Amino acid sequence: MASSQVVKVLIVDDDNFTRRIYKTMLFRFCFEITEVEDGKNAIQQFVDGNEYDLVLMDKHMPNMDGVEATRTLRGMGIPVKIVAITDDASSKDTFMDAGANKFLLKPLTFSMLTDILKSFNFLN
Amino acid sequence: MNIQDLQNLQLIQIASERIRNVERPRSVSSVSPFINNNSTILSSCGVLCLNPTQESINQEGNTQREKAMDVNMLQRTYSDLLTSLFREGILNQQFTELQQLQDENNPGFVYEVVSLFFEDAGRLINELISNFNQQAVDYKKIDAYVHQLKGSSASIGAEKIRSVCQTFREYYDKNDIQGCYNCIQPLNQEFVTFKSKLEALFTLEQQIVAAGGSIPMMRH
Repeated sequence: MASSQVVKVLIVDDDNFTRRIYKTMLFRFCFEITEVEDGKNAIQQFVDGNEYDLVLMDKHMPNMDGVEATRTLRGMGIPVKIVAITDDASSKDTFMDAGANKFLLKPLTFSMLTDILKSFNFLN
Repeated sequence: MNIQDLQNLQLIQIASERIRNVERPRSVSSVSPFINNNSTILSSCGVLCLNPTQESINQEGNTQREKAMDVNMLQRTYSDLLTSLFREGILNQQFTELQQLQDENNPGFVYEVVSLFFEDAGRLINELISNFNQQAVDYKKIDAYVHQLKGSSASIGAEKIRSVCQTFREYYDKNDIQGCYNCIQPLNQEFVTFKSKLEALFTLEQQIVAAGGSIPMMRH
């Protein structure tokens, strides 16, 4: 886990509407939330020394898509839990091969999110 | 709008008028639960005559009862409208998910995200229409817009809009340009319908709250 006790989540999605919904869901758990619009900015967060417990990664984004961002993070040795969330069902294998921990189809529901958080033991 | 929509709007207007102009009873001719032991009875005519304090208490009671009836009517209209939106396939379960995210920490959450959707979707659809009217149509850009619109409509539970976007993408994948073009007008129409109905729903919510009521929670 990241150094503080609070779970730190990075939302990576180019749609501000989607980010707003994810943030509202995650606020329920009093998590610390950061959001970025594409894979390139997601990588930069880690390059800048930020630590996260969980990344919610979209697939289709400008500059760098979610698969490439996932692959890059794993290549950097970043062990953060990465959950791919996309409406592109055909990208599951690609995401998992790139190093994602879980793959979910949009739209994300609160119960889907809760199940994921429980599976990672983020709900104590 | 269809006949049901017009009836719903008429109900909203009637309810609004009644809230604004609460009628006071012209006379008190029946026993009120608020009568206390100080009332005076004229037994010869059987009419209950009350001192001015009792009469104003009864009028207050009738006003409160009338307000409660107005709130009930607004709540019923709200429930009927919301049910019809699900029945007609305009909304799906994802909208209920959003409603459940609204709480005392996020009191205006649904209104906020729906308003954001109106703004984003309106802009995207304008871009789509504008791009299709260009001499050289950039289909890759159009596909990107539709992809974005599909995602946001799915997130909010705008089922019909999502469905038209899905149809567009199927035509796009088959390189069926005419099919893509034929989706634009229905997409715009579904957006207009969605916007007007959700705006009516939010208007009812505001009126219910203004009348001192609570928004009915419904399961779909």
